[in-house]
Amino acid sequence: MPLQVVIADDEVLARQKLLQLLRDEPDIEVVGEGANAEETIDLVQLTQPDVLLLDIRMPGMDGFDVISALSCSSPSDLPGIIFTTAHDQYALKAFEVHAVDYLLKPFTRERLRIALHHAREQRERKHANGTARSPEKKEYSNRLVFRSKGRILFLPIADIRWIGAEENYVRICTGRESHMLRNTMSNFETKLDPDVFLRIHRSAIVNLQHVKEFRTDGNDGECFVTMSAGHKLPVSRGYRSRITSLIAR
Amino acid sequence: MLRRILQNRRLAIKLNKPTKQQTDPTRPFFMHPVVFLSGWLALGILFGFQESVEMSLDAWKVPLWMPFAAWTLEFLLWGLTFLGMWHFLRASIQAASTRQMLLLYLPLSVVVGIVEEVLYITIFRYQHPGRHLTFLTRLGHNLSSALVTDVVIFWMGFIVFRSVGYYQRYREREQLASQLQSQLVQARLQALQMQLNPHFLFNTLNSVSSLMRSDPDGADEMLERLSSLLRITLAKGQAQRIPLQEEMEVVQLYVSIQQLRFGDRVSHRVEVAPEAWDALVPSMILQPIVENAYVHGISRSLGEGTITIKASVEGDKLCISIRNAGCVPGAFADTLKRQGVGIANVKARLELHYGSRQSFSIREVVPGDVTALCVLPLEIDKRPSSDHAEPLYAASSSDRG
Repeated sequence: MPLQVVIADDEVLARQKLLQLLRDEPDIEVVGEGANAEETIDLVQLTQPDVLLLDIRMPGMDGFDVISALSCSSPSDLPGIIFTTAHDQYALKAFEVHAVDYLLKPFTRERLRIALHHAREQRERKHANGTARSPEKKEYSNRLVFRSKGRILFLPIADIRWIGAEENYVRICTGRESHMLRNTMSNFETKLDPDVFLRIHRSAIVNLQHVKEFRTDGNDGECFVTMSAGHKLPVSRGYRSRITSLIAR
Repeated sequence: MLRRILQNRRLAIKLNKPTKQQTDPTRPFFMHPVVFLSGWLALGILFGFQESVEMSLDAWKVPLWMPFAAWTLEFLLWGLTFLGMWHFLRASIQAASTRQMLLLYLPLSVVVGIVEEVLYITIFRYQHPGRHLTFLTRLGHNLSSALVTDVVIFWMGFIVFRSVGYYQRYREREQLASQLQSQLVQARLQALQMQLNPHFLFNTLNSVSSLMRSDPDGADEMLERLSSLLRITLAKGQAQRIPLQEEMEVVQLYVSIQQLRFGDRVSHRVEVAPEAWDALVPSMILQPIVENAYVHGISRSLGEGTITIKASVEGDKLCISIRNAGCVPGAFADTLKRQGVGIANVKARLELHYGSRQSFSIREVVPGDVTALCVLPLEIDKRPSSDHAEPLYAASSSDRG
């Protein structure tokens, strides 16, 4: 089933760019275009799309007004919201209203694809488990929002391969690139699901899904983790027991 | 452009703001009424003590409290007189011309002297050893012995108040001068900082314009990176010094844009020691150096180039080197001759920021391998290092329930 998309932007050229980019994407169907908030609300209620590409600053009501109007009328059937805006100051607010992504204009085809991919994943999750969640398991964050190199990132935690400490900063490495954040490892450790992320060193946390192997060096007993991309990280003595207990499990 | 307008406006606001000194001249601590009167009281007691000792040595038949009371009263009267002068006549004293001094303050000093004595005699009418004499006789006696002293005391106060005025005006002027000086430096720094951007901006726009026809997605990519670069540059606003980490974000964005232009011909490496990330550097100081490496080095060489940016902390110095391997051998001498606006700017800005506490050099270590070395005094960003200094928000779920 193709992903149904509504575009909302008061600028013709902005809508045109989205239309052109989406036309080339497989499995995407644009079901409507709104030039202001009122039009958009009507359109979404009428077409029930999967995704709403939403500009924030529009004449009259803004993008957030659209969301509150929609969630008032049908809270369970909200489309996945992808904000497209030239303003970076609304990122947190967008995160709080559970937006799927936040695209800063101008954005590339690639960036739009990533956002749509996230929207698709979210739709699939919704279909798979409805609203049910396993009650006994503590909920861990599944996304981070931060600013890096002039962009806003709504980074799915699953995309993180490993996290390294560099003095007052942590380096978040994804498959594509790395981001420096002024933060602490311990702060990160509490936010991450211990079943997925393992601290192996004072200055390293790895995503177990991206670990290829654990190896103890025969000669001096030093232990290393090799990541799927080939990166090698040392395991410190103090954290080694965690790995052995993990292997035992 | 927008940023320059904003900055100029901010600067104008700063210049128009009246200084605190001009509207509210500070009162020297000794002119606080309590401090001032206590001072005079202490002097009175001291003189009283001295006289009572003398009197007891000379075996006078006067109660010992008398000299204390007399001197304390005398000095307290002066204290009150001067306090009044400070409040009502200070401005006039500080501005008085010689003419005014002679025609107004000289007679006033005599009048004040006479009034002092009249008050003194009136208060000590019945306690004084000479109480059997008439008022006028006593006044005549007191004036002949003390009027000159009174006038001298008056003029001493006059001189002190006038000096305070001179001192305050001197301080004010000094403060204003240093403010203007720092604003001037600020303005020059901003002007220099501004020369860097447009140059690069138009080159990149030209690349976009060229890519638009051959590779629309590439043009898009370049515009996105350029926007990101503009966004962080604008967000820095007026900050003159920023942590190396933020500066490196700018450099890396710049490099990523250049990478689109030069493709595989250039690779770049960044090696920053972890403790150097928080060291402060002048905002937009590295980009022109890296730009220089591209413009004068790699873009004119035919082979592959590598740009390596290293930063380390050595003692109380921050050392940053930008090495450009793969230039045309000998091109460096040419580079020195044509050293662009960018490098001259870097030098001027480092000079303004750190004076002689910095050094900057570009040398060709081996043919075709040029290194720019920048040594700055180490200043560490003071933001709290523990806790989460940077807002980081994590959501427990992106799905709505």
